[in-house]
Amino acid sequence: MPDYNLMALALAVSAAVAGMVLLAAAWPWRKPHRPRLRLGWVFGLGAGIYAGCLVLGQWPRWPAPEDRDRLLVILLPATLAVESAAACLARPFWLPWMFRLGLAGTAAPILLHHSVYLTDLAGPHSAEWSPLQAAAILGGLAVLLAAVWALMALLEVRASVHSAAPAVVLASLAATVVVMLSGYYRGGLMGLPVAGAVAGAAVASFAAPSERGASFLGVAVVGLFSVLVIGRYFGSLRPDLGLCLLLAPLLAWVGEAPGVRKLWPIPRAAVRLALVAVPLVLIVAYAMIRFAADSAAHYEDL
Amino acid sequence: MRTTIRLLGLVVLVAAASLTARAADTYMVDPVHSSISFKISHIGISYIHGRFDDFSGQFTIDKDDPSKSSFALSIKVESVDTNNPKRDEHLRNADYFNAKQFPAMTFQSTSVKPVPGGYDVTGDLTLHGVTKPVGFTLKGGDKTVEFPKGMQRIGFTTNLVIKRSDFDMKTDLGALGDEIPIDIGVEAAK
Repeated sequence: MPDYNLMALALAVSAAVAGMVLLAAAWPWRKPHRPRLRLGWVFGLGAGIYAGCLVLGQWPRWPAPEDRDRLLVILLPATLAVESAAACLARPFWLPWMFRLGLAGTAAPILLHHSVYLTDLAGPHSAEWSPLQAAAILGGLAVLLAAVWALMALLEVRASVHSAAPAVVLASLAATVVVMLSGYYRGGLMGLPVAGAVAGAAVASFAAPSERGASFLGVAVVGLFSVLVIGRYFGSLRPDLGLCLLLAPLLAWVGEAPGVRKLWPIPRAAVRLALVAVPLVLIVAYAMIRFAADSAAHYEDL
Repeated sequence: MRTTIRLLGLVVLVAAASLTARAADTYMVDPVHSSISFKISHIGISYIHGRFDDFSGQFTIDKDDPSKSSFALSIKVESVDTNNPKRDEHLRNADYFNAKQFPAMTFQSTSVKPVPGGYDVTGDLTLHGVTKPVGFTLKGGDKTVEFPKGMQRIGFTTNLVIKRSDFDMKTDLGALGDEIPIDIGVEAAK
């Protein structure tokens, strides 16, 4: 049974921790030290996610035996390292992206490590995927993550972090609910700290001027991607729903369309938010209806 | 002459080895005539029963030196069956068995002691990627039956209780019981 109080607490804690770390790094707020501000985003998101996981009782184990452990012990620290390097090495511009692309290529294999998909756990040649299938699926996932990561970063650079952050928050919240309803409660929970940390850092960033031309949300994009991958491969998340949830934040790009770009900032932000929110609400509603129908099919026989 | 003595010695050694081997009989678990079932407390008012449909195992019974006997069992957790497909799907997911990560639950004995009517068995149970020692008394094994013709068959029953939290299976610990009684009845044949 979901513990809504605990979930709300985890959201609040991850938001507060992320916001406080960002504000601490951005001091003095009127004229923040730029590399430190970027690092504040990276470590704010990281600290917020870990704090939220601690509240939820999702602290990782070592050696990381399961997908959630590998996310928190290997993938997230690797992302923090890559984004920290990107924060410190703003030039040449392609260098951080080499690291990010490398991470995009290894994210899914890390999450699926030593699972029946990739490993012969039940005897020789028992892996569910042939080497060709594995290469195709992992390659596809890497391209998806890299594409979403790059497009969200480009949106931040072109518009602002305040344009991109709400889309990631909404998608992470929706992923939480849908993965939980897809039969992986603890996997879905991992989306809450991601949403909370991004929301907290984004709100806190109003106090300190965000740097234009930089991207801050890489950690959150990897977090969202991870929740959906574990929901798909260790739960029963439908691949089409997972794909929609991953791609939905990209609808915030509509705010950059010529007609919409002329709007005042607030209506433009509302359009952007609505365009992201509508498909997410539909997906969540569909997942809830399906879950209720499955439950009702059992109880109507009583 | 020396060669003949050596050959004789070899023959004696081989004969002794084969006699020793004959003392230990190896049986393969017959899943058609075996069952592994469990029950779990639901919201503290009753129990839900389930079983595993796909398992295999091997018993080595040494009548002369029972401490050399061994018992091994491997259960495919994908085969969990609680008479509700949606619930079974959830049980296979990472909230519970995580069958994609840990497809098998295994038991391998580490110590076997004969007791009246059976054996006291201690061994390593690996479930959900965690290995813990467990002990139980196997009842049976005192007789073999020929069924079908030409096949010798031995049978055991036992029950044990494990705590799922010991194996890092902690989802819904409030609503669903922590202690899981398990009933095993197995026939093995050679």
